[in-house]
Amino acid sequence: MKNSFHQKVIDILKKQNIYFWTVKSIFEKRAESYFIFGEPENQRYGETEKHTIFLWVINEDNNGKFIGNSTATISEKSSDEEIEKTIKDAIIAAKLVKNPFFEIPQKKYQYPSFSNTDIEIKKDPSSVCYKLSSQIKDLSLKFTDVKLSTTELFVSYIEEKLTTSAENSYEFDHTKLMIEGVFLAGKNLETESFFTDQAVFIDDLKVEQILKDQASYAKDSIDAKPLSTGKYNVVFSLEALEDFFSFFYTHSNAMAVYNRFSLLKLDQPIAENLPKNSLTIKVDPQIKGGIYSAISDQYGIPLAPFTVIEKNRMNKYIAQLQYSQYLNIPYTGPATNFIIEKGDSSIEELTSKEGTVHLLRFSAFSPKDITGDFSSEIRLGYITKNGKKIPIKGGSVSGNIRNLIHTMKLTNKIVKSGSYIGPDGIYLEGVDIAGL
Amino acid sequence: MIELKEFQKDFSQAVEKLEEKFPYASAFAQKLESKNITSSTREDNVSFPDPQTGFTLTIFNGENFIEYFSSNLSSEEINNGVKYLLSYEVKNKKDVIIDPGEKIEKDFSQEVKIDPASIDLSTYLDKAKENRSKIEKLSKLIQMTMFRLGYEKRDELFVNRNKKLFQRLCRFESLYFFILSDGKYSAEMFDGFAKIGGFEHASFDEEKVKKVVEDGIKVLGAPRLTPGTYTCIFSPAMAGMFAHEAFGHGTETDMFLKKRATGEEYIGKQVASKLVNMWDSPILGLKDNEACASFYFDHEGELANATQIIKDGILISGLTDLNSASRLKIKRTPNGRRESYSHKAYARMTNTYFENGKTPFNDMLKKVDYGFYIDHATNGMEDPKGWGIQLEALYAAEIKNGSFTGKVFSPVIVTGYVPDLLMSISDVGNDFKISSLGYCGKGHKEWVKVTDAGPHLLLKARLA
Repeated sequence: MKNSFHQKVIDILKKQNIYFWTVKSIFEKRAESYFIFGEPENQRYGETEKHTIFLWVINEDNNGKFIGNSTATISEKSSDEEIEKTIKDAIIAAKLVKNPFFEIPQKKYQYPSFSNTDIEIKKDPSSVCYKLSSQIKDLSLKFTDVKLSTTELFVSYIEEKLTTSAENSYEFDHTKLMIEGVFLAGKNLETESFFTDQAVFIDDLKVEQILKDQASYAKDSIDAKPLSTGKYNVVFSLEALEDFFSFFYTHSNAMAVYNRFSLLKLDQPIAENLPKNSLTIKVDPQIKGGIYSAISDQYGIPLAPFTVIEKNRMNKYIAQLQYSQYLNIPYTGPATNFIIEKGDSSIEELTSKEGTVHLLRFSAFSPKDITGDFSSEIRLGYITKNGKKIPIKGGSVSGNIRNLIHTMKLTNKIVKSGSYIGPDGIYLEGVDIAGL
Repeated sequence: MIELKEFQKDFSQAVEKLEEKFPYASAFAQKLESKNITSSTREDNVSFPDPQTGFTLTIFNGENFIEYFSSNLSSEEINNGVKYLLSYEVKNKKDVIIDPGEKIEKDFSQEVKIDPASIDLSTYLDKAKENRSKIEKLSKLIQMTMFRLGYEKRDELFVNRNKKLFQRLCRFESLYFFILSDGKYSAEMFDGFAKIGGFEHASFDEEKVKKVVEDGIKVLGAPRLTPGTYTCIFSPAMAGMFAHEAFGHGTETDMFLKKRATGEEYIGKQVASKLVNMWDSPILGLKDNEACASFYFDHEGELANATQIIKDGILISGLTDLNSASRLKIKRTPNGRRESYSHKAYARMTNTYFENGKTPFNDMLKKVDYGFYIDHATNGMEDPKGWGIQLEALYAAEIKNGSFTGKVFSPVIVTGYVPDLLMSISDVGNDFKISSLGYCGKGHKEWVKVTDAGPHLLLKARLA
């Protein structure tokens, strides 16, 4: 970790009259490789540094005591005078802001010892990128009737250092891998299967399984047809999972409560009609391999796990420091990794019933987090007919999680896919599909 | 403060040194200055975002591109980049030639009447608070409003053996977002603009905001419509998003190279109604300052110009980056764009739009026996291979016998087969409006500033 610039910013901040400040420095080494039909298109390597200051000042006037804050990012090539100017500008900005006052703890913390680093990536991101690229190229040749059109690989080693005016400081390093690719299938390569996944550890990125599944989806797309318009019982998997519960994530945030648009009340059921499987959502900031794992919030307060929704009841709002004080509720810190507890059926059990639709791939499955509405074009799914899984694609699936949650069942197998940790299938009844 | 121009000589020397070994080399550098001033109902905030200062050195080794990027913009680090790239071998494949373009050395700058950096932060914050408060007073159902003012001044430098280009771009943004709730339902609406220029654009269109709030109240708790195929009028915002997702992404020629775009096989063929003309133009900003994805050269040094994608319903051109144009041996268009210096260049859109036609909106409305007016576009997704499409909007107003019934449905999704949708366009409005708040991703990443635009369109679409 290049500490000298971080320290330089701290030394200048210490000379200012500021209620509270934090400096967060991020240093990243990243290797990237891009292939088109197995041939290299581009190889990239670079190193970047970013230093962000968060500061808070107390503003008092005849109307009372307020807090003002601002954020600024400083270029690593800034001179001492430029750093000082940026900080002074940020102080002027913060002095203009008069938000309700909240206390920022000035105490010293012990931080957990937590590593989210793949040693091999830390040693040499370029070499890992090269090895994975070669592995993907070799594996892709094993699949028949499909062609790997493109792959993009991103391998990063990231060091973070955070220091606060309360003399709390820690370093946290982590690694990140991302893969994106496309398989083509069909006589004239007329169908495709686009995939993307990310992980912290090399072993968590199941490259062979990803390629095997996606090759199969590309082939299944060839003969897939749209369904007739109607209401169906649907199991959502893969690309639908990550944002499926975004309505609950947003409405359980204390910011939403403070701003009076949350529809979830503490200790109350999360819906008028409750799900068949109860819904439990937890937040765990220190999951090994968690994409959003973190040590502390922006005030340097150490983060700990908590339960947001427990068995269909709103248990604890996700409360950052200011909202916990504004609403007089327990502090939790920001959301990091969400974990959804599993249900009791297997995906095979849920999809075995005649006429059940299993949806895996979409144009973009992005439910509206304020309303709970979801709509997406279907890229690939299967309908169970006479005991067989028939591929489907085209048309759209739509509904509202609030209106349908009473029919929800969760599968009994947990998957970690990107930032999602939860059941590999979510079943809803009476979902609209607009097709033929 | 770092001035990019100071490094022009270092980059020229780096390119020269790299081309002693490799057939092509170039350099791109950037520096940003931006501020965001936000007033929300219960909190305000000021931030000075990441200046994203840095550079990329690029070589073509005879077979593929190799790049070195760094946030450390200094002569020493440029030399480190050169050393790193020189460690690669030259490949002797001769089938791809990278054209450095015509010789040109020029500086460009967008017109800014009032430098946004010269205005006190207190003026910004007071204005944001005042505008936010005006919105809040429009309905008791509004629980939270956020009003943001901001700007981005962007310097960019490109150097290769024939080109030494510098551009200074400036964009002013004014946008708002509010959440309505009646305790049982919630709804969100947003609007605003981004314009080329500075603080001279800090005005507030109260009449337009009133209309957005009225639409928001109609959307709150509105039912979803019965899925089916209907006659629709797309608002200009919806038409713009349609242009972007339908044949914007579908004609990015890096997708041709990857065999991911069916459009490649349809160049010279009819893909849309004869009424349809579609463009991508980074020079649209010369006519309309809301076309704020405009520039003078792209991130691979191609000078800006307009590209007609569809002419009278015929697909005539793709949008290229340097790699795909060189390999496919097709004409370069100014569409090689990066999210930032630390990202790769791809073929990307700029200001993408349907050209306006001749039909007044009221004439269009009279032609609808039963259908919907679709507005308040939110997001879309492309499918260049399967020619599927997904467009999402917050507002579908029912039309019966040429008049609005007053019933509103929300949200609404449009899906279908792109050529079917484009061929079904039976009227093109005589109006034209740019939606300037958008960013565009390639798949799910690589975000660049874009705008989309168009007139009202009358067509048939599958809604849900």
